[in-house]
Amino acid sequence: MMERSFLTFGVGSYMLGVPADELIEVNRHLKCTKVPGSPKMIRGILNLRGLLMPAIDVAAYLDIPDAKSESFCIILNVQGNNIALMVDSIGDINAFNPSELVLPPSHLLGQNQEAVLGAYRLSAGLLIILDTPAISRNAQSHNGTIPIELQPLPVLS
Amino acid sequence: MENHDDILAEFILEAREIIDQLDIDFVRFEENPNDPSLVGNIFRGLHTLKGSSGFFSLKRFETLSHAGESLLGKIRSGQITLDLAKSSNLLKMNDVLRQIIEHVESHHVEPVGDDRDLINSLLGMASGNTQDLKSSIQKEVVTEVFTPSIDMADPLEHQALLELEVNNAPGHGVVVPIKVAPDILDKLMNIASEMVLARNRLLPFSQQSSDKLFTSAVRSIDMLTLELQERMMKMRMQPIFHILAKFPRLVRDVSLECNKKVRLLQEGSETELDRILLDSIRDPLIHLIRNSIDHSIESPVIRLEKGKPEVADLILRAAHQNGMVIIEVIDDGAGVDYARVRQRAISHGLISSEKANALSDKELINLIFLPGFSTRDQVTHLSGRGVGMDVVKNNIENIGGSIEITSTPNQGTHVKLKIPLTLAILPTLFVQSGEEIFLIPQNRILELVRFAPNTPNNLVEDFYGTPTYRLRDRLIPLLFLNEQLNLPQLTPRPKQKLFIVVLNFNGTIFGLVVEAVLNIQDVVIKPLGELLRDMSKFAGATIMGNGDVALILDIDGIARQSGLVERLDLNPIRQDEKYIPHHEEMISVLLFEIPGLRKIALPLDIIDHIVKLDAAQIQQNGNREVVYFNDQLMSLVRLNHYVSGGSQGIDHSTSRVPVLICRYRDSLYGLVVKQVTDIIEVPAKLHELATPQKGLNGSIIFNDQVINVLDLEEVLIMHNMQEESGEYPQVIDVYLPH
Repeated sequence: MMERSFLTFGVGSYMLGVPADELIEVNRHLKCTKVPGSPKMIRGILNLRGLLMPAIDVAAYLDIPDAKSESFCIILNVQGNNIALMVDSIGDINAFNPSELVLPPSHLLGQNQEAVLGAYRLSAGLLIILDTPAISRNAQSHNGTIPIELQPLPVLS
Repeated sequence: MENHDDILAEFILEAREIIDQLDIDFVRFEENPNDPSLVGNIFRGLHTLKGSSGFFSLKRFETLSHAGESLLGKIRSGQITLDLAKSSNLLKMNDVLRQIIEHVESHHVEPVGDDRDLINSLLGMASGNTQDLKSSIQKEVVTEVFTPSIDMADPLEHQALLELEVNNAPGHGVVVPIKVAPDILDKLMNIASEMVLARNRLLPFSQQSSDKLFTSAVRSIDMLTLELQERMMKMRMQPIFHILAKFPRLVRDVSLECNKKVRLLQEGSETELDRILLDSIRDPLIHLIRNSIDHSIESPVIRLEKGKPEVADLILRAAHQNGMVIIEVIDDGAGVDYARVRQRAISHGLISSEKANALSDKELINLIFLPGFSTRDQVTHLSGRGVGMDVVKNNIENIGGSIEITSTPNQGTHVKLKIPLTLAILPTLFVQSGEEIFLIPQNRILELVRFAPNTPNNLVEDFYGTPTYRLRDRLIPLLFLNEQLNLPQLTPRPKQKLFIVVLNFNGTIFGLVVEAVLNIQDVVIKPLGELLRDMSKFAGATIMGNGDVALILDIDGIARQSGLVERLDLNPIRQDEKYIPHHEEMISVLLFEIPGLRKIALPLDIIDHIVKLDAAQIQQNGNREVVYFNDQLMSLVRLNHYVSGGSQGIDHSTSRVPVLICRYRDSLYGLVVKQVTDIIEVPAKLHELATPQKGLNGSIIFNDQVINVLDLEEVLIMHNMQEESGEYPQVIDVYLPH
């Protein structure tokens, strides 16, 4: 079985991972612009050399308390879309055998279970692998409904 | 033949161009049948087509173009004169040629088809027989056609080739344009913009460096980047000629169909416009032209009865104006039939009869834009289906443009389209609300008004829960941007001044209240769509000169989501309600000059003293100029440094300078001016400047003279900021050159 590499990072007390082949770069101090009215998981929009992408507040997305999610910025290309994950710390890139992936217990992250692909058991604890396509999807349509746009007639005053 | 396909592709491109050109030339030829250069052009074009098609063995194409060439040869030599039947046939031939070429392009083979009737009729005309030709000439014709170089065509051929050589001089229609997919252009454009940002980061290093090689390298990069960017912008632009070229033919066909006589006059076809926009205005323009010919222009008989020339003029005019492209479609026909529009609107149930009768002509015209509206009883394939002007309007508005119709009965209709130069670059106004910067597309802004919400006489009234502002004789509803975007509330300050950006949403005028207006700048729009789909309050984002991202407001989205229109429908604002015209207030102002500008004014009550200071009294405190005055240290502010139009540098020519002393936030400031001229009484009404000018509040018109009123607060903020940070304004420097 082919091993797959994951970039590990920390948010709060959790160790998380994303597929390393989706990684573009890790950056610090990218300034992001808040978008009023956007969901909590969207920290804002940031500019990476002319590419605009949503900055995802991973702590807010996964409901992780006691996390700042602002030290590092992981830029990913997920199925053609760029997203930036705001996280607390950056770990190594480790390779794992996909057969060792264990599905998370249903109570692990509550309703955000769909955000998680599974976990690897490490000596230091669990490495939780995020479902990056799900993040990208959620960033685009956070409540699943698209408001119907009614075009009113011109007002004749 | 390995590269046969390439050559064929080139031929197809060339053939398309020639065929398009032939369309124009035939119609022009119809109008000026005696123009020898025109017929020469047509002949040469057709000859080139015929020759090349022979090379690619496109038999059908070759035979048909040969027949056309034969007829044209006769016309050119003066043996036959052109008439409507002949030109119709030639145009028909052109259409068939175009179909063949299109088919060849997609299938690489000629389509099957029978052009014998057309060929016979063309050749019949060429031989002078307009009638009764089919039966008699058919055999002869067919043989002649398949052996191309027999007597009749020969002398023509020679002549044509000679002329062709002359005409193939460098630069004459031989350069084959390259097609590039727009998304590649967009990417290049993106990179060019990023290049500018990277250069901006590089520039400070070069200013600090003493290494000459390094600085000169940076200078080259600087110049090249600028040029790269300008070229990139140009690359997207194309002359509007590319679509106007199709219209002579369209006008001819439509007017024939409607039995009208129309002359098309085109102006400004060299006006340049973004490619994408060019594509999206073609259909609306076609619609407008059809409308003009079908609805407005009268038949020749009626025109003569009315005392108008038999041939109607249809003017198509394009021009640049204030960073927009203005396209006008003007006819001298009957114009909009207001009574009919009114009656139609009522019978279609679009509006109640009493409401309709109260409408002015100008408001009636707006009814034309309602979906489903048509004054036609009969549906023709040209018009009358009621899908029309509303679609035109939507299409134009979708690309950030606007449409305006004026019409005078019996004098004609005037349609004016305002189109932004490009979609990618948008002139925007930078505004600030809740500590954040937002951008408003400038073409949506009607005017800017400054007001003080926390003063008793603030002109703000509550109208059934909707705050409204009295702007001249109108009440306009207000939306506060920070409330619409759920930004933190402002902490009210007693003398705070806010700005109202007056906007139009589908005919509803409303004011968007922001805290500050910063500057106007062209920005490159980046869509937000993919990232955050249902952010309907934002139209896009842009990257500013310092690399930060700023959001562009979607005015329609904000207005729609605010529910403003629904509230106004429940309780319509009656504009004449409670309107008390206020008498003109007068104030005293001090009039003075500063280096570079004359006629600057400040309200007299702001100024504490006017003194003349000796140059020796002025002392330096760091980079500030200070004066010890009345036991206090007073900063000197050289006004010309902070006001648009003021000359830079320090004027050392006079030894004693007049200084206006005023107090701002418990500090004394001395405003250095060139000369104090007068104290006058002027109307208090301030005319806001359409484009905010640095350091100026607005202007007062007094005895037909414009007096600029200084914005003391802004000047002093700039002065203090300069000390603190060394830069103002904090928003970007020039990012895109015009």
